[in-house]
Amino acid sequence: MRSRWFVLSLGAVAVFLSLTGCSKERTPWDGIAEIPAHVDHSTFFEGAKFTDGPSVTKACMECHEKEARDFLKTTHWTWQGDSVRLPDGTIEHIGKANLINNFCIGIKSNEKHCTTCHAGYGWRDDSFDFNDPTRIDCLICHDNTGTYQKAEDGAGEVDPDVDLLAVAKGVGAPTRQNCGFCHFRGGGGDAVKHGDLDGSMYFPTERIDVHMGRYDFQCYYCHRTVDHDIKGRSMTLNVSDENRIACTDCHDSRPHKLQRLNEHTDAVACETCHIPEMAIDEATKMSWDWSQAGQDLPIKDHHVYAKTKGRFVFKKHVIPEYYWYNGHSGRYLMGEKINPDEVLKLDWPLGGYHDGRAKIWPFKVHRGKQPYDTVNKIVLVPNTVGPQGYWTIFDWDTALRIGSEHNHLPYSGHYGWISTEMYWPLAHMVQPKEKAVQCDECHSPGGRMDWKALGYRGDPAFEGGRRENGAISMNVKENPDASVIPSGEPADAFEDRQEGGK
Amino acid sequence: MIRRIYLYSTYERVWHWSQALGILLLLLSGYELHRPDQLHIFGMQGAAWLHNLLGLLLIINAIFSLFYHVATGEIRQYLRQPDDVFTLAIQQARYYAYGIFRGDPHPFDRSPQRKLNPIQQATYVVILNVLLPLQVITGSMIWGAARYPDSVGRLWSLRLVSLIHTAGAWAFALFVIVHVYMTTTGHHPFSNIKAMITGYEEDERPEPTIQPQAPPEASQQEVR
Amino acid sequence: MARRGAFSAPGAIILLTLLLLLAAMPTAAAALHPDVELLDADGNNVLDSGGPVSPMQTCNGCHDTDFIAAHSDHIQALDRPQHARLAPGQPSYAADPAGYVRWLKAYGTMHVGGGDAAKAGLDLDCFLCHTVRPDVEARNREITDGRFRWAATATLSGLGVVEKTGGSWQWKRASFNEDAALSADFLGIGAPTSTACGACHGTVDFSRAPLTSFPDPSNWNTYLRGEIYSPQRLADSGMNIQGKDHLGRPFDVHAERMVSCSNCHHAQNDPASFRSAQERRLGRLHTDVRRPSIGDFLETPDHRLARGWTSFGAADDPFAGSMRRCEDCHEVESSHTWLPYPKLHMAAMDCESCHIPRVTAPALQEADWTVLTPERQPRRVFRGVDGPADSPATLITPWRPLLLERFEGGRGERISPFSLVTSWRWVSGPKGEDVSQEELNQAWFEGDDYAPSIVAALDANQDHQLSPDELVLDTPTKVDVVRKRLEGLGLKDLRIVGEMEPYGLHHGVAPGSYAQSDCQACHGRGSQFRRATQVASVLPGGVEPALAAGSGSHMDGHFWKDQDGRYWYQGEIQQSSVYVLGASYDPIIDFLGKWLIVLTLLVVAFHALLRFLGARRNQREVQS
Repeated sequence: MRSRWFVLSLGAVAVFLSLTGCSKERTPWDGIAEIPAHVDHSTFFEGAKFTDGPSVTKACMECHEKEARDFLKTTHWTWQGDSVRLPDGTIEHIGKANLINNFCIGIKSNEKHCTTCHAGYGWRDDSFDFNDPTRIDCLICHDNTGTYQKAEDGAGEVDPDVDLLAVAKGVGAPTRQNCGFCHFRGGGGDAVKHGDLDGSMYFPTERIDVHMGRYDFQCYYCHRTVDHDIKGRSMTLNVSDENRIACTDCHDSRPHKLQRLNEHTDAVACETCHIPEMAIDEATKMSWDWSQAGQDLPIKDHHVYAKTKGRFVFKKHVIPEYYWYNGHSGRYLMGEKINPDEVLKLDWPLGGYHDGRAKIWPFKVHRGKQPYDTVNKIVLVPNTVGPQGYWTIFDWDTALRIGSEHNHLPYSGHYGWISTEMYWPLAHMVQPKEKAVQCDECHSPGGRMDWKALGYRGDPAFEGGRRENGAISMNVKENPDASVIPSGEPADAFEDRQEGGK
Repeated sequence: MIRRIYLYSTYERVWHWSQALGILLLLLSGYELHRPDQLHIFGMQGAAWLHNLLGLLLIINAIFSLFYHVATGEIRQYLRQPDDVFTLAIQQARYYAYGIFRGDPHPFDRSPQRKLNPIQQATYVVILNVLLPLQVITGSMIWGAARYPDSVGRLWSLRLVSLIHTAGAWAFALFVIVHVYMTTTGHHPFSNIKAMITGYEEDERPEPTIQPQAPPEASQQEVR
Repeated sequence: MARRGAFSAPGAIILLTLLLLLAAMPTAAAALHPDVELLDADGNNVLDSGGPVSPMQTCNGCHDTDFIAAHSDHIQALDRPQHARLAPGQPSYAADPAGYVRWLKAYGTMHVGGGDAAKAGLDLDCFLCHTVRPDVEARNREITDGRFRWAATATLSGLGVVEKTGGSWQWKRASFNEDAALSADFLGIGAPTSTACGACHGTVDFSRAPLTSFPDPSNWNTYLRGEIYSPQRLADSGMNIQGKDHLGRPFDVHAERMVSCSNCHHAQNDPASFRSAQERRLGRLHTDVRRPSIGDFLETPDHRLARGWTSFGAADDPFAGSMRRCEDCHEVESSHTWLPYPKLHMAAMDCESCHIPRVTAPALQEADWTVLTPERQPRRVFRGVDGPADSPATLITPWRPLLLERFEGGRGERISPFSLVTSWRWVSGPKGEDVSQEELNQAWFEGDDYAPSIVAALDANQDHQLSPDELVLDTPTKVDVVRKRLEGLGLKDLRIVGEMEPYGLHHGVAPGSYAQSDCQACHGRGSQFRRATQVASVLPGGVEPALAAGSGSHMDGHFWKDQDGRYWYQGEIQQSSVYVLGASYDPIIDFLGKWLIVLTLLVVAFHALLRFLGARRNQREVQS
């Protein structure tokens, strides 16, 4: 009997040791969405004959009615996100549908081309019914066969050559191919718009992005989706900090072994060091000069010049520009008066040296030259697509007149060219520590950072950082900076502009 | 009628087995430190940590047992020598050398008063009073030299100490092998181990005075 | 548009103040050092005299240049006889009959000027280290051409203040300011940058361009040790390093963390860095705050730079161990919690032993001055490459340094990593004086061609050419042919001597995650203390090299020659004073222990068998 006690106590010790030894630590994988089991659809749709997109959607809705209703509320459908208060007191939801950029400029009057990337069928003009769930294009996101196509300039309608039954049977969770169809090719071609999203990410190696390359991440691993509302924030289309994905969703906020690196996280975003360069394999568009369009130049390279679009500069291995960013941004809204003598920022990051929540972020800055009304001093949206569009008849006056009508903008008949900038914060093409930016790349003469422009006295490695110089409170959380907009409130776009645009 | 003799007290048994476990693990971790290329159990860091910890436990165990043996007077088991100790030792050696093969009776009858035969007595005195302290002292010196290199000074002495410690470890390993084997030389192969677990030695031999007719071999036959 | 003109008065004042402040900032920095009037040797402005600039005169206005010249290793190192041999095995200039000027033309590019060289016209060149863009190549050209007086002027040509037209240097008055001086900002006067040190001492690269480095005697540390000081990651470099894709570490972690050479190798009396030499530090004081004032320091900066335990000449060097070492900046025990007995490890070995686990550039293994290549250079073999070391296509195999014990003054004997360089040279006479380079040339060459008798003896493939493979004295006959040629020059008692010099490795430090942290690298029978290191690919004249005197280290293991003629050294931890767990053991004790256990097991098994048989027999007897 006594020996049994001895054995039992030995066993207890062993159990205790194994428990303490195996206590599970939180890993980044805990932040990854659990992937629901896939239901094989290949046996469904027996005898169905799909003639067009909506007929497939109707079949989907036989089981997924709720999903369709959910989807009608999302920005992928409405192309409108944050609400902002206009000077006249009205609230407007801004988004792709009603904002101006310095790529193809604006959607209205050009719908049938632009909405090739709309997750719906038939958004040709304002008459499109945003309440009709049968117009939802389920397949553009859920096709796993790789055979689904939208028709060119077809307002999002299905390419007639697609075997819809086969595609419907082959649906599944969205892959990088689904998301990439639009997001890698924004701006009219691969790698044009985002410096950090391009076709090299369909099948990325570790060299391109550590998450997608080394660990084969799908987009929705981080862009966690609830009721078809996909997490993520595009600074170019929104002004608030809501719904943002952060590295710290999965990673510790002070993840480095080196204390000195962790001290950086107060002022430096993870992306700043871990995205040392953008456009790793595919050159991205750095500038677009519309004013040069319309000429018959002997330039064959479409990455340099196109008669329809003007002159471009594409660059590879681009070192980002660095600015303070607190998650909120300013935005130029359609119809807003401009100062044509200054470079117009269409969107810009908010925050600064004295803003304790702001961190230094890497940006792609896309610089453009685009048409504006010299009398009314507003940026114009040209009609480019269609029989009267600029790309067909190469007449700016007609293009701007038609575009202004569709966008309800006044057009004086006099137009000029304004230099514009768009700021694209980088979040992809993340590199592991072996490739991250090293100390001396910023902290040496001629390094990546323009310390004075960022507000420092000089290199903070020698002159001290914001805390040492009393620029921010030692406890940021208790003393939020006044310039930060509380999230959830309608943001006042014009006030933002005055604070951030100086 | 089975004789049950209560030989080992609870403390003695716990002491014995904890000592045994400690020494086995010390030999194992020590070997890993000595030949890290041959043995991978704890890893070098783990082995070093474990070896130090076990060494400490061994010292504590030794102090407790010394107290126990002195306080209970059990220390006499090791010290008290009968007058004919040499004759008995030779008898015992003879038994191991050939008597045991013929099935001769064990020349030494254990009793709570005399648990150890003279050879055991001599061996344990050497193990407990020479080898164990030697290992503890040399081991502590190695530990101390590593911990306080400045105060211990030049390292040449460490080399000698380390070699003595290694030799001692080999000797301990030898002892363990012989010791384990010798436990099987009891009345039947596992009776001694059982005694060390339960505390009771079960002698299945009938009392010779009561049943003189029965040859002792019968009991062995039964065991098989 | 109208708003642009409408500046408010307070706004304008603020703007103006800001502009003024901005304009004032550069001058505020420059105010630390006054404008510099360049003076010639007579103390006249060079714009007036048109002569060569004399740094000794120019800087003397504020800094005691005579003091500096008298307290500078960079001068005295090349004046001291024990350093006269510039490279391992290289015949010394003392024995060179062609004289000092000839030597200075050949090797003055490695000399900062001053001392003996000043007597020949090569003045101490302050600009070389203390200005921002020294034109080292222009200076070297002046020196090799023998125009020593113009060397310092050429150094400044990188700034565009002086130009060489028609063979003579012309000062460009337009580059000077109205006081005929140069602003200190323009000259970039300051403490030497790492790049400035690298100009002579080795590959130092702070540019982001893919780094390449090929062995070159003028690249001293990289040539002898494979050390490279650069923040660049190995994977990003232009070096063909084996497995570089996985080498995400910088060439040197200190370079990455912006530590410059002068941070550790500071001037002896620099009040910001000063510490007395390790041996003479007071044990009870962490730091001695009684220091020279900045003014005193700037007037008489002691240019005997702080240094560690150099492999040679440390014994009589009062400043050996005066530099900042690892433990002067790094807290060791709290950062090595994983390591059992950190104190013992730190007491027994230098940090470099683990933190320079491998060297990723080729380093000199042998310099054989018993033969001469057509370029009048020795036969050289490099460690870490299998093929020509000067080709970018040759694969560099990161090599493990040789761990030796070295005497480090008050720190005692410590294990440290070394690059072992072996050299052979001819000596003559009863005192064993070096055969000079000139005599070697005469023995080996007749005009521009090899002497026919030497070609005949060495030309193994009978093509009347000496290929690099054939250029080695690996048989007594070949040795005799060269010896006869040398004897023809009147030299007597000729013999070959070989010398092994262990050069300590201290740069190219890997960050913690790349340091040696595998216990078995040292603790185990495969310990690096017992690893065989190739000393030489061949023994010229069969001469086994001896460890150079004064290295402070000792090689107690054994040497042997393998069947391919290569010469090896294997450390023998048994002979060493340290006891390395797992690697140290006494063969007799282990032999006895092992076989006694086997024997005991056999005896026990035999005993058990007999018992078993005996019991069976007894059983049968009972049954029958």
